[in-house]
Amino acid sequence: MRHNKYKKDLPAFLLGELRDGETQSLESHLETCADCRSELAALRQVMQGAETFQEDMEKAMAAVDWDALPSKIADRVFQRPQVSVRPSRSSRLLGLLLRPSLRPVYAALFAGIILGVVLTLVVLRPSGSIPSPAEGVFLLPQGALDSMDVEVARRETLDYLEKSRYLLLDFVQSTDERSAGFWQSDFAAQKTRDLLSKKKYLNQQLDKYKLAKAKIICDQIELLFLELTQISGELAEAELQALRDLIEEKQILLKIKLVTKELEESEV
Amino acid sequence: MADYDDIYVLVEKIKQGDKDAFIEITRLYQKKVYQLAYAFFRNHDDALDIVQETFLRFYQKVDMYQKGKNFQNWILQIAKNLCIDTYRKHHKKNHEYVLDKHVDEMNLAEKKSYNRNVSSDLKDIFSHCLKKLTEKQRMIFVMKHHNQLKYTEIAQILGIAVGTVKSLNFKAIQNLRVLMNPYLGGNHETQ
Repeated sequence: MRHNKYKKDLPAFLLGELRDGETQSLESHLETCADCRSELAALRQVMQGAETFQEDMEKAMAAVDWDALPSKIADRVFQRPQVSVRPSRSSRLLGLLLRPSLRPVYAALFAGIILGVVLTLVVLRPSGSIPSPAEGVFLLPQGALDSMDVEVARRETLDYLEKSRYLLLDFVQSTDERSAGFWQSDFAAQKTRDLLSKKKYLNQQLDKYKLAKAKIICDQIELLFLELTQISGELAEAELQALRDLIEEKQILLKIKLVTKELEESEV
Repeated sequence: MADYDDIYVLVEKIKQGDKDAFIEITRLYQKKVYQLAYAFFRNHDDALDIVQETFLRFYQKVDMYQKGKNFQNWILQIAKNLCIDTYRKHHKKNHEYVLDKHVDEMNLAEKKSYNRNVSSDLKDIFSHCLKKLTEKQRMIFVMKHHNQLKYTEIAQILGIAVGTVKSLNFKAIQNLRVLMNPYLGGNHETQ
C-alpha cells in the first residue's frame, strides 16, 4: 500500500512539490525500492523531453519579428469596418438570426403560419360572425349559408305539398271502384312510397327551420298516405269513404293550398 | 509587465478606438500567447495564427474586460479557447495521421539506446505523446512547463480548482511516461 502511494507521489517529488516530511519519507523508500527508482528515471525522461521542446520553441520564437507583429495585427483589426464599429449584442443576435442560410427555414415557417391561420378561420369561425375572406379563398358568410338552407327546405316542402295535393285529388275525385284499383296500381304505390320517403327527409328541415304550419299539414298527409298504402282489394268501400270524409272534414286539400301559398310568398 | 492600472488605462483607450494602445497591449502579451499556442500545436504557423486571432478576439470582446481582472489570465483564456477550437476543427483529423506516420517512420531501435543529450528524436517522441493526452491535461502541462504559469493562474484561466490542476498535472506526467515508455526502452534507472 505504501509503495503505491510513493509511486503516485513521484511526479510531485520530481517537481519538488512534496512537503518536507513526505520528501524525506519518499527518499528513504527510493533507496530500497528498485521499481520506484525505475519509475522516477522514466519520469525524468519525460521532463527532459519537455526541456528539449522548450529549446525548440525558443528557436521558433527567435524567428518571429516581435516588433512588427503588433502593428500587423492592429492593421488587420482596425481595417475591418465591422470590427471598428462594433455592433451591439442585439444587432449581432439579429444578424445571426437573419443570416441567409436560415431563409428557407423562415419561408417554411411563414407558410406554415399563414396556412394555420387560414385553417383556423375556416374550422373555428364563430357562428353568426362574418369572417373577412382570405386571399384566394372564397368564403360565404354564415348568414348566407343559413338562408340558402332555409330556401332549399322551403322548396322541398312546396314540392312535397304539391305532389301530395295532386295525389290526394286523384283519390278524392275517383269513383269507389276506381279508388281501390288506383291505390293498388304500381304507379300510385310508387308515388306514395316516394312521398313517404321525402317526408322522412323533410322532417329534419321542418324541425330545424321552424316551419310549424307546414309541418302540421305534412304530418297529416303522411298519416293519410300510410293509411292508403294499407288499401288492398279487400279494403271495404266504407273505409275508403271514411278516408275521403276525413280529407274533406279536415280540409286537408284547402290547408295544403293555404300553406303552399304562404310558403310561396315567403320566398327568401 | 504592466500593472493592472496601466492595463486598464490601455483597455479604456482601445475602447475609444486607440490603435496605439492596442499595439502596446499586443506587444506586452504576444509572446505569452505564442508560447501557449506553440506548445499546444508544436507548429510555428498555427501559433502565429492563434496570436493574431487572440488579439482580434480580444478587440471584439474588449467591453467585457473589467477593472482589477488579471489581464494576462484573461488573454490566455481567449488563446486557450481558440487553441482548443482550432484543434478540434482541423488538427484532430489532419495532423494526427501525419504524426502517427512520423513516429512509425522513426528508428525506434535507436531510441532505446539514446542518452540524455538533447535529441531531436526525443523531442519528436515527446511531441507525439503530448498530443495523445486529453485536451485538459495537455493544456495544463503546457501552461505549467512551457508557459511557467503558477497553479493558481492555470486554475483561473481554466476555471477549475487549484487542487484539480495539480492532480491533472501529475496525471499528465504519468501518462506521458506510459506513452513514451515503448519508444525509450523504459528501464533506465537514474544513478
